[in-house]
Amino acid sequence: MSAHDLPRPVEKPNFFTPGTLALVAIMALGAAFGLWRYISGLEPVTNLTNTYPWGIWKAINVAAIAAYGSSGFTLTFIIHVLNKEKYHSLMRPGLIVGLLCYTFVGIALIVDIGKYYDIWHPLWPTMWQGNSALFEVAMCVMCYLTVLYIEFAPLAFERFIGKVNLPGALAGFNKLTEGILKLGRTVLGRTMGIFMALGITLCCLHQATLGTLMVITQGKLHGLWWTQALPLLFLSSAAAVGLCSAVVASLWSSKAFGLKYEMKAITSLARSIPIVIAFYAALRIIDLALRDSLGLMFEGSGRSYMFLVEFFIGVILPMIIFLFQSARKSPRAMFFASFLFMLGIGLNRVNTYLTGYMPYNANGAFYFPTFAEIIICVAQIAAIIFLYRLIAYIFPVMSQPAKEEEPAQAGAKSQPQPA
Amino acid sequence: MNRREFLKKSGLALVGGGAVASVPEIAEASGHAKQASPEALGVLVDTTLCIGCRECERACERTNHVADTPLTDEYFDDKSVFDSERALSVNQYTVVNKYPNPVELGKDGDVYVKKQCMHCVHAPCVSACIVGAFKKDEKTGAVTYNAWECIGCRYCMMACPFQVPTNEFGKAIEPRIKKCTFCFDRISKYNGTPACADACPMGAMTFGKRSELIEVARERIKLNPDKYLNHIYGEHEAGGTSWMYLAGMPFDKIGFPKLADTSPAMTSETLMHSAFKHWIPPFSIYAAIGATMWIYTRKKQSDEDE
Repeated sequence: MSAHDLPRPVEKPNFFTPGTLALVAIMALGAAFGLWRYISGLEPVTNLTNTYPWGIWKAINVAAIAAYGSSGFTLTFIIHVLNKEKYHSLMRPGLIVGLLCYTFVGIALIVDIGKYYDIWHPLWPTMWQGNSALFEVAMCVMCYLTVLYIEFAPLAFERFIGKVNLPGALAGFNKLTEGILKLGRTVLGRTMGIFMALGITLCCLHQATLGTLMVITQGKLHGLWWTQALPLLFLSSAAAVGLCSAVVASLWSSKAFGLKYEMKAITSLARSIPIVIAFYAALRIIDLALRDSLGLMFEGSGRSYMFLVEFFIGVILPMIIFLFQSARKSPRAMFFASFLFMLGIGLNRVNTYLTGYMPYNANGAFYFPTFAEIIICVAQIAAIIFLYRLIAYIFPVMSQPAKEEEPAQAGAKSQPQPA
Repeated sequence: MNRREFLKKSGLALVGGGAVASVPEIAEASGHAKQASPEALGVLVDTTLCIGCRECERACERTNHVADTPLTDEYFDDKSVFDSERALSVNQYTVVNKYPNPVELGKDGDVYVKKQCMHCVHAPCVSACIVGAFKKDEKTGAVTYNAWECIGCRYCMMACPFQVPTNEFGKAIEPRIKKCTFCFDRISKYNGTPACADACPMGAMTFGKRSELIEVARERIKLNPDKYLNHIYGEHEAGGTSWMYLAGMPFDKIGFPKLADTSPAMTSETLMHSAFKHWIPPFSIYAAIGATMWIYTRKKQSDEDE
């Protein structure tokens, strides 16, 4: 990254491409099916039953997407706590992924829970329930989402300070708005460290608790996944997958916007990723060994095959790819390895929440999502990608070479360290 | 799993929460297995006495009006329902199932088993509920449900070891969780008996204090060791339940899950409370991150100054 590379809103290519239109189509279809869910309840739309009360909306749209959203807190830790400035070009893409993933965790819950209009109940002190892992997750996710939007605010200040131009009658408020934005920039500029440390703490807590959540299914969850170490496994895997989703976001968006890949930062970051993955993989194996459950992976059941795919293809294989220097220098290999690990951890969440779940009275019945469930699930992921693109066109997310005719931008000049 | 293993693994998991609480603290936390209060009530179901008449099902429906469309008398007279094992549903808080009995016990073959909420002593649904819509009434031992507070997340259904709570998936608005109430109003306000126990013509259900019922059960086993297995299901299962069963054949053959003696709620709560013990772990993480940030920022500044 040259000294002139600063984050700016993306301008070329055209916002709408065939790919973007496809995303919009999927989102529209998802919205239509979502409407059906609100009109007729969960029964006709989903395959949820009294035996399998949780489906892919919880496993993928809540558990896995929350894990992918770890990109925000892991990069904040590396860049702002450990002060490794060389990764700056990855920070904002990672932050936006975190912001969108966590926003959609909230949206997924509003789609999934039966009384969505009562989603505020956990906030009400008389209904606080300190024993509930889900309560802890809800509170931490909500607080962290607030922190994420605070961390996002400097992008808005950068974008609009000096350029406030309200339409029509509101033009009289231009100066006032400008003043508020400047005040916000000053206050947040001095206090951001507090919010960053708070965000990381909240993430450590609820990423672990997303694992604790399934501890109460003791006796109903297959031995390959049920362990009291679930919080530790969920936290360490979230930290690893957060780095990978940041790499995927950076590479993918650079490609989509015709920018050069941030390979200097990615190659360097990719040296740390296998260490974090190895830490998680070692814990996973040690935990299985301590519980004398290593043999379960060879029991030949469908669940044991799911574990083998999850662990050896989704965790060990990407870890090995990261170990090769030649692979770390190749955008293609880095995208493949990071994406594969994301799939591996996604599968781990699905296995922990769904595949490994075996209620004693299932009588051979099992859960498989309906077409509507899949569409609503995929539409939320499409919306994350679409909104990422939209934000990159409006806000200074992607680092780009400075424009010749406009050598320095007002916001960028006063903020040499993008948050 | 024994206590030692439990501690070892809690320790491992504790690091996961980034917690700094020491192992003795977890040991203390894990010692709080909930006990039934002395006056807690319960029901002893003697499956050797049940004849599968389904009067309990009828009494439950007529008393609690469970189904949105009231179930008919013809339904309760129909014995063909025994052809397949029935699960609890939004229409029935309790069902009776028939299991073939390969062991000769002086009875004509089949064993009938009534099923309903077990009203656990340390109930996982109560522990899991995000808003505390499930409450354990310490006096009666009933696990009660508040539909207004419920947000429909269905975590209780994931948590229940007996797969008891059911959800009104078909309702777009105000879907409720449905499960046996232990006829809470009858037993708490009117000193009454649960409707099903009242209706049983065979006296297969004995309602009373849980502690006394355990004595009654032991006595029956002692007097009739050939008739009964020496096992009171629910005395220890999942940390103990208010409803307990006697049977002449292994419980896993008549629709009961094989469960550990500790409540899953205790395992989960031990982890939760260790990670938040006196708020020390969260604040320690925060302080550690803040300190690291300060040190590295200083380091960078001094590097730049040089």
